[in-house]
Amino acid sequence: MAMTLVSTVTVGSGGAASIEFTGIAGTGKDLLFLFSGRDNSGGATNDLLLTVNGATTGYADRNLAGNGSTALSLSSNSAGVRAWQGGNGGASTSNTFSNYQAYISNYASSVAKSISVDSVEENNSSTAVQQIVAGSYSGTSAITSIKIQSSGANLVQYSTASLYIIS
Amino acid sequence: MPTPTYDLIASNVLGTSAASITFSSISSSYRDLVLVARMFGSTPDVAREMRLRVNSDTGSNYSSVSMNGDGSSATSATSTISYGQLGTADTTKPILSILQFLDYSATDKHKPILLRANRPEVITGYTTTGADAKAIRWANTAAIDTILLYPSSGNIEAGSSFYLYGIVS
Amino acid sequence: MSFILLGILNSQVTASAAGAYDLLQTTVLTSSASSVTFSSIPSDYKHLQIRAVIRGNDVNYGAAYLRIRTNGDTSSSYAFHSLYGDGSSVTSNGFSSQSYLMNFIYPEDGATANMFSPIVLDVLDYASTNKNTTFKMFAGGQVSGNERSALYSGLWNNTSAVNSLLFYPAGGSFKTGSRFSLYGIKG
Repeated sequence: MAMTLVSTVTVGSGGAASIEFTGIAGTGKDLLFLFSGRDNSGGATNDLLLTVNGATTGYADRNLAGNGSTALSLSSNSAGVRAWQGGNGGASTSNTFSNYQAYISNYASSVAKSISVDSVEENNSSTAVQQIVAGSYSGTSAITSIKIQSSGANLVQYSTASLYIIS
Repeated sequence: MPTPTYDLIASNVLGTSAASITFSSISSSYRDLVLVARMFGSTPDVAREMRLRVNSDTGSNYSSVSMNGDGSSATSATSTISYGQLGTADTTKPILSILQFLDYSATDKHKPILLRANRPEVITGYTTTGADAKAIRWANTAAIDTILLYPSSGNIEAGSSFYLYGIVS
Repeated sequence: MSFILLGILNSQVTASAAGAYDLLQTTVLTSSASSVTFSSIPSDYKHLQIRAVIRGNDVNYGAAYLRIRTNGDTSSSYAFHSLYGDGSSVTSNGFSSQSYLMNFIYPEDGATANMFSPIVLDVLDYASTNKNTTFKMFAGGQVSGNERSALYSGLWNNTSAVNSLLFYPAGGSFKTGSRFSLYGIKG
């Protein structure tokens, strides 16, 4: 079977600034990263940042997003591939966590990397954020680590990430 | 009883350029196919469109509706032409296309295909692909047994990668 | 003195040998049906994925709406939002306190022959009793006048583990050949 679980990490009662998988074996073809998360920010939503290999530069992204009333498109060259307002913040409907997927093809190659992100954040209101993100990382080393974090906030208990190698 | 699935059917990483990539004699024993293609074009700073055909069909049998974000505008389009449009790339700015072929071997349906295409980099002078989601319909009830990927001109360059997976149901 | 965990590392990770993606249930309609239900969903997976192709049974109409409910809940416990392109523009909308999810347009039997619409629905951490359930769904189709390339999100505002999923049309029935498959993803 081509899809195998690497690991799942769940945030404990103290919260965490991020979830990171390191030491990723280079034996596969693609990576699938699934994230169900919430943070302790004061707003209903917050940006999510995905980084690889500990790098904070070399990223680019463009998205298509909707917030419940307006469709928009943004670009950034952030310190990671950004899912704009993609995470549930502390002011969103209680017990509600985002549904986020990142897909990286040919992750162990010696070329720059393409990262496809699909992310939704829900709320029991007319406002919630759905988006598709085209991301890239210019580094040419194999990806051996991947991390997700909320912008300026901590992930709360029960946030969870699962990493899969597809080979 | 759960059935493990998600099988690698074929893979190809180009060591040299190729005019096209073909997956042929695709087994009908799966329900869905997932094709992950990351493609580089052959001309620097010129956007080459990557295209899809199935079963060697060159007729205007590929209908699509898309939504796209290029970094500044959200747009939508439809088309009915002789190929599926997967996005554009040049020699250093690849297009990552993830295609879901559902019920690809059913002979009582036209073939629905969901596409996510990604290229955040700008190719100067060309419309940026950005983030794209597209629903394609191949208007034919024949089982898909061949998938062809090819560029609008030039070649698909070395470093491009292609992985075809099958999912049973 | 208080401590904030700076991050969680999962080091030296290698993939397990066993596959992580299992087919759990599948329904291919051999006659029309007013709904399709996945019940007794086991709780020992981490995530779920539903893959389906859908067409309606009524020749008098061109389009129908797909709706989804969880655990037989018919109360106003759902919210859903959509981002979709219709061929001319991209729309974003949302609905709260609803009695169902999604409202996705798919072809009825009055639409172009042999046209079915696909959906891929992801449900993360579905068995957690500490979370409401958040759904993400890609879908699309070329029903004339209702063309769609869409990303939906949905909320079931209840922290119970998901043990059943109901798919039903707003009116009418699903046509023979419609297919719904449920997969479990280990975690």
